[in-house]
Amino acid sequence: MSEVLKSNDSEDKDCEQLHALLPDYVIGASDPDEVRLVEELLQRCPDGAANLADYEAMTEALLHSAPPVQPPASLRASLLAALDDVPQSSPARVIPPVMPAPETHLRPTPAIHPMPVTAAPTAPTSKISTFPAARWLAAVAAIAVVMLVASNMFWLNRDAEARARVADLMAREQAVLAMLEQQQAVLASLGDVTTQRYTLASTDAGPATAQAVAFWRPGNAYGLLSVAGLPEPEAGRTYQFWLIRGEQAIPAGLLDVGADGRGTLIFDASEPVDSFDAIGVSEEPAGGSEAPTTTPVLVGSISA
Amino acid sequence: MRRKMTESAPSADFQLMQRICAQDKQALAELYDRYGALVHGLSVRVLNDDGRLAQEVTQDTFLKIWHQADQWDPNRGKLTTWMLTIARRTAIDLLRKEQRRPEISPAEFDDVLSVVGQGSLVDDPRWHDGRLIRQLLQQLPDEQRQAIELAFYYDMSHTEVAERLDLPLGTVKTRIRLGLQKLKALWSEAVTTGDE
Repeated sequence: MSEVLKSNDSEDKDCEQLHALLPDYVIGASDPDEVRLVEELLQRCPDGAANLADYEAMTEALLHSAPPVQPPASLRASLLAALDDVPQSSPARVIPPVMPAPETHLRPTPAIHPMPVTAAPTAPTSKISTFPAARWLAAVAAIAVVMLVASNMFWLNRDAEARARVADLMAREQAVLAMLEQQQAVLASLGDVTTQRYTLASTDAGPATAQAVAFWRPGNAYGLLSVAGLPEPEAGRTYQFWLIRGEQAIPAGLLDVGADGRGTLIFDASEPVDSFDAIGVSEEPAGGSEAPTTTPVLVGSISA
Repeated sequence: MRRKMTESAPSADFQLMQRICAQDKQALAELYDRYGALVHGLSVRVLNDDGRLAQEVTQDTFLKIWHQADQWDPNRGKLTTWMLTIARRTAIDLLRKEQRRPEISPAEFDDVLSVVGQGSLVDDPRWHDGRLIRQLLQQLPDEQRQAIELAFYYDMSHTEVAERLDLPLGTVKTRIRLGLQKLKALWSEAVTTGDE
């Protein structure tokens, strides 16, 4: 009996010791002696493996806890270009990177060249066969030329239309990429120690629950506004963000507020945000206004 | 060269990694499109930098994946865990090479990023655990959270954390141990509740 008790007592001590050592072990902060001890104790403590598995799941989640940030579009091209400089360790079987095609339904433009003319039938038996061979060939050639011209005109027109569409799509793609890059720059800047935080307070025109914070880095023309506690706007209405200098309010973007009362806006002021005196949010007709038409529901001052 | 991958891995990741092993560049581009934001997010987090350094780490991480694709063993962990481990190590190496001090991020930024994250950037079930642990971290006392972040994200030794925070070594050890024990208890509770 006493042997059993001694054994249980020893096991409890092992597990206690393991419990104390596991936190450092899972994040790789144990020294080599502690690592060896943990591995020994894991053999002796019945719950050790399960405990370790829980810690490992948690540290895996810790690794995934950094919010994703979309890298700049140029980095993808840079990565793929870097692969071209990498010496291949095995021959062939390299599939070149395929960049996304802006227009996938374009047909190849046929080349303009004469159709091959084959020999005329040698044993004509039909009524047409009485047509002299030379005139028959001439007629076929004439029809072929007319068809070629018509076909080429068709494809040239299609080609011009397609080129215009591609140019339009590329321009739009560039605009979207520029916007995404700017958004990512704003998101990434939130972790910067120089980023300033400004609070907007609810006014009498807005619900007491409304609150908002705006972030931007000093000198930057863009930033992020995050609001909460605003009622979802009625149909035909929207919230608009304003940058205020003296008596002038400059529209800085429309804010989508959902049923949960939250909304986020990445705004671009075109000039340093901290050169303005104040910021505010008002309810406006859908599509926004040139100047506020209602009393702002949220306002905040920008201290120099 | 021995290939460790087996059919037990999630098929999409597994197939992509098989193609990368066969030096299919398009497969690496697809992997980047799928996980580039995840890797870059960790680079930005560790380096506290949204510019050249974080981009350098993100690119180096994918180049390492290209060279070491056969090192991933799906039986030992998820592909994202393996990739993020490479990214974290690469970022820490660069941090040390540049002799930069890691910044301790204020909790409020994480809160705002979580709000932003309700959009398409992180609207993916894959990040659920990461978002949960981020929320749970905020429930720890600041001093414990800071010590854990320095030890985990920046791979700092206890001594380095003690120097960084200007605290006795014993205090740092206690904070990390108690913080991780509490975090694990919160995590287990949240996961158990979520499964019910």
